[in-house]
Amino acid sequence: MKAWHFTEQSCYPVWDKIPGELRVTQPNSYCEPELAGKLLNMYLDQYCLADEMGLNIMLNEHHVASTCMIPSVQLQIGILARQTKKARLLALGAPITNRPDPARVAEEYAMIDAISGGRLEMGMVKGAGWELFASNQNPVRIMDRFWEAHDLIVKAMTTHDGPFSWEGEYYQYRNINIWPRPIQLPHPPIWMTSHSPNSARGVAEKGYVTASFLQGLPVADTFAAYRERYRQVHGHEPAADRLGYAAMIAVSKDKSQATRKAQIMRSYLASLKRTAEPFRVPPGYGSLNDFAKNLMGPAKGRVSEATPRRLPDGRSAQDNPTDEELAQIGLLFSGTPDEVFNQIKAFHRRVGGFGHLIVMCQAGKLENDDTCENIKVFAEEVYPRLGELNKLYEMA
Amino acid sequence: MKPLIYLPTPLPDQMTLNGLGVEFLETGSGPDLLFLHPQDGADPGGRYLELLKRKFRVTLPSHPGFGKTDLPRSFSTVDDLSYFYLDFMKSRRMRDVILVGVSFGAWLALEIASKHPAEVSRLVLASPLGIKLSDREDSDFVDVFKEALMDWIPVWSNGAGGGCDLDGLTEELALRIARNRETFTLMGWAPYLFNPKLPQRLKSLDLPTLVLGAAEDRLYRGPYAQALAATLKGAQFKSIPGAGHYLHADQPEAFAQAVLEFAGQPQPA
Repeated sequence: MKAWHFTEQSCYPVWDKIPGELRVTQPNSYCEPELAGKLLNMYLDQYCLADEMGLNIMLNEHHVASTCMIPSVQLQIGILARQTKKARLLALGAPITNRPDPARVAEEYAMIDAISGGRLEMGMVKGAGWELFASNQNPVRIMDRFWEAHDLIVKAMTTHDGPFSWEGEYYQYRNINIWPRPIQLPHPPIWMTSHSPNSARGVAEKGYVTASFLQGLPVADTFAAYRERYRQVHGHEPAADRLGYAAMIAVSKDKSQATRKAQIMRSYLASLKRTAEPFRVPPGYGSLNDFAKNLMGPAKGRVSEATPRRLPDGRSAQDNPTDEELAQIGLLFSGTPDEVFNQIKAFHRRVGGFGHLIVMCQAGKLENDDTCENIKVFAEEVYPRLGELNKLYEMA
Repeated sequence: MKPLIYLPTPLPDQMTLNGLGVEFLETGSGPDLLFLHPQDGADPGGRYLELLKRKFRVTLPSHPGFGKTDLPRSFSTVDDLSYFYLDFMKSRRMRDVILVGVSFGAWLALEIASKHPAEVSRLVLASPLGIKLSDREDSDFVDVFKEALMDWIPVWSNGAGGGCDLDGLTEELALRIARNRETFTLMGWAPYLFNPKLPQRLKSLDLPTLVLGAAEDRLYRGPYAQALAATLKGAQFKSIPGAGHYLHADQPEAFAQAVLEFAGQPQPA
């Protein structure tokens, strides 16, 4: 099992000052730039600590959001390529359909791989629906653009015998010939996110790593679809390292301290709700069938944030789940190292296993000291024991 | 206000044109009138159609990407749709066509007219879109993409036409609604509801044209329909009281009456 520290690098101290939504339309007058700079440096320090403690690191990218201040995952991970020593650097990822220039994505990734000595893990993601309001790229045919951009990036990474041209449906180039090229051959490992069986199948066909974020127990279906499609296409079981899951973690040797941190980290879940309805699923971003189902169902065409609530016994948790329920749902593992390990083990078993755990040691309004404790205690007391979970998976 | 303005029910006739499956409705008798539906798709059950078919042979197709009409993969703009209609009018042997479009359909009518097809004799542009009139730091239209999908309805209609409930919506109809919204997004997302090439192409347009504006329009940020009429040679403007943007749905009698009065005028020599 590999573990990855992750934070969305938010501007959480201003959340309470912002009325309403935290994304897309909140004026940036609420952003205090000196504070933002201080926070971005704090997050970089936390990543460096994770590196020192033997964890790998993962970063993401969002736009027009007080909940994630990283408008380019390559920029921030480029800094860490230089500042960290051992950690694998997972960018999950570049929203390649929002970038008008996928060749540049390939160039930037290759540069990071070169600076880091071949430590890059290269994520390509569809991006959230609300990102399209920042990039202005059309939500319709987004996955067609996604796969063409993907093909182009892989070809740019793997072509070593001079320039090639590309005259595709969405992208045209007369001279692609990236310098530097990546150290890792044929290219850095590719990751993609999946939050439904359908999207997992597409990733399985390519054999890439897929990761699901805070999807809860329904991730079992996403992983099952991945495994089934992987077997069909590749003729053997996928290794555990093809699957990843991301959740928050609040861990401390002092139980009351962990409980206090878990309480603070719930602010992350609350922040997810603060996206206005029009920006969640613009037409074309989701499938026609999903839209039609929603229109015919009790929601009557309305779209709201659906934080996972399913408990292991099939019941749905109430509005304010207990810490135990949050752990069972798979959103926030909290408690002493033993408790956290057992929670992860139980969740891992229920969803059929995975080989990467992306731990959000910082989320919501969790302050620096608490985050650093999370990173240290997780790295020292929990991470070393996670290896046995992989054995469980291999046995299954 | 009901959640739907009308149900985009299937059209009874089918044909194949350049390899595309096309659904359409042909009804009534009289001069040829090609009705270009707005972004919510064709409404074959509307009162406006009952009134128009008394005086015209009305052809109401679903545009490529709307209803059940196929969308070629290469199509992504209203300009693309206009080439489809040049072929459509020829294949239906239409003559002296009165081209009537509402909103997205009126934008399409302008795109067709900009290719100067011999078949078209008059234009009726009801609540048109398609031409950028404001400067680059303003938009002529409220951005419906920044409204929840179910909140688009009051932008299009003031509810005077009655509307429809979602109860009893079949899967087929729900999928048609989804598809109509998706194709509208494909063609209207950016540039937002205009084609920057259109004004130059329309410079030599000289067709009798009626531009209709809705007195209670909620899409326009200013008197857009009137201003657009002023850019077109030979265009007259009329405002329909008591109507929202989809004036054919909100005030079908006044809409049909305006079309009839305009189309009943003698052709200019």
